[in-house]
Amino acid sequence: MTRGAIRAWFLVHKWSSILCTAFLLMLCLTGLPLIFHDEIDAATGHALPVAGPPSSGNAPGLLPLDAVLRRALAERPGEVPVFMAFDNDGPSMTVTTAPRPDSPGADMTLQILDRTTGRPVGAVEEGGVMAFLLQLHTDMFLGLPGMLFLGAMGLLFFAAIVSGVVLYAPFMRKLDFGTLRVSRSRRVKWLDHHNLLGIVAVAWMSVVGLTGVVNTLATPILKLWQARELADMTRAYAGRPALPPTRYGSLDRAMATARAALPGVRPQFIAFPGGSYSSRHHYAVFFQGDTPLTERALTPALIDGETGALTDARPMPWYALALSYSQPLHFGDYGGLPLKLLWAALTGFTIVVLGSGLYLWLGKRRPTDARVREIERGGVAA
Amino acid sequence: MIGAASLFGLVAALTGDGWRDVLSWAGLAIPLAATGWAMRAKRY
Repeated sequence: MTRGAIRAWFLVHKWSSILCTAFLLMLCLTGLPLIFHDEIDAATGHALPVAGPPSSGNAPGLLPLDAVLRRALAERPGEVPVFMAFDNDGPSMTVTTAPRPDSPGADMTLQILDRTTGRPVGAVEEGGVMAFLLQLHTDMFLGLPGMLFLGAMGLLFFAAIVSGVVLYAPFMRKLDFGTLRVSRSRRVKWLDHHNLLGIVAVAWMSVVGLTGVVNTLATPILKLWQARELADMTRAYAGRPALPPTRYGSLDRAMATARAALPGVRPQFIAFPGGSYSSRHHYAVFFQGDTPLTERALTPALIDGETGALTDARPMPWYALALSYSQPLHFGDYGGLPLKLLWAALTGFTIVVLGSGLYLWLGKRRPTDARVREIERGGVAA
Repeated sequence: MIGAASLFGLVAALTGDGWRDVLSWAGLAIPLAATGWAMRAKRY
């Protein structure tokens, strides 16, 4: 690699890192406890009971969906249903209500109910430390602009990773893999740790970083799906006034129609008419795929909210699938507690890489040329 | 190779439970093992 190329990549690495490090450190520090939010919920009494048939099924002993919905609406007089979500491991399910079908998320109320009894179970924590950390991690309390800004930081992080990998090869030309020169200067010690932890975790950091970027695009992705696929599926209803909640038809009839259209798969959630996951006239019943790999690939069945007739059912498009698979690959919650522990350890590696990078930048300043020569000579300090 | 093992580990647990989870843990443990080895064997 020529000196000019090394210089260019060094500057890309330096400046992309400088711009994103503070935000990436915040994301790592807030992300660490979020990895274990299920375990923290269980330890603080927010865990949901799991004994009983799955609420996503239609086993005997499960109440009709209309009955569960009536119970939930009785708790929130004057509100309308917006979502209903199911569990594959137990009878708990959630019903989300709001003042209007298109109310923003902040105005929604989530209830957790047992589908065998219709009674509320578990506690929905509004506020609290975990909610604070999640909001800070997701959008820094700035809504969509905050999410998109963090997405930009994620792209800078990926640029720093790529440029770091490019510089690693010439730097390590004369050093064995894993070399840690701890008996020389503090700067060399931390430089070697920065390089080692960075290179061993490069694949994980890249995947978690890029999936984080995709997650920040959730709102634009959903709007694109509404404007394209959803509009196409409901073309015959264009121009009709919205279906008022007082004329919503039977949810059980809608679910039966949806199951008949898509046999053998389990429903994950229902979006009610007027919200962002459905049209103004339909129940959208989202079904999971029927294998472990495809269970995140959702297929919505649109059911006329009044008549219960099937309008259309088609898989979500590729960009929505990218969002569906970015979530587990970012959260690390799909492989049990050992995977979460490994996720936490690799987050720790990332914190050390970021912190050591900051130290190396803030330390005794040297001209860029000196740094470039150091890389060109294969790690021998100038 | 460490990167390839990590990528394999990231994907394995998505495809199922049981032994696939174990493969995932093994793949993602390799970066930690490599670091542990370096801290013992390559400190100068």
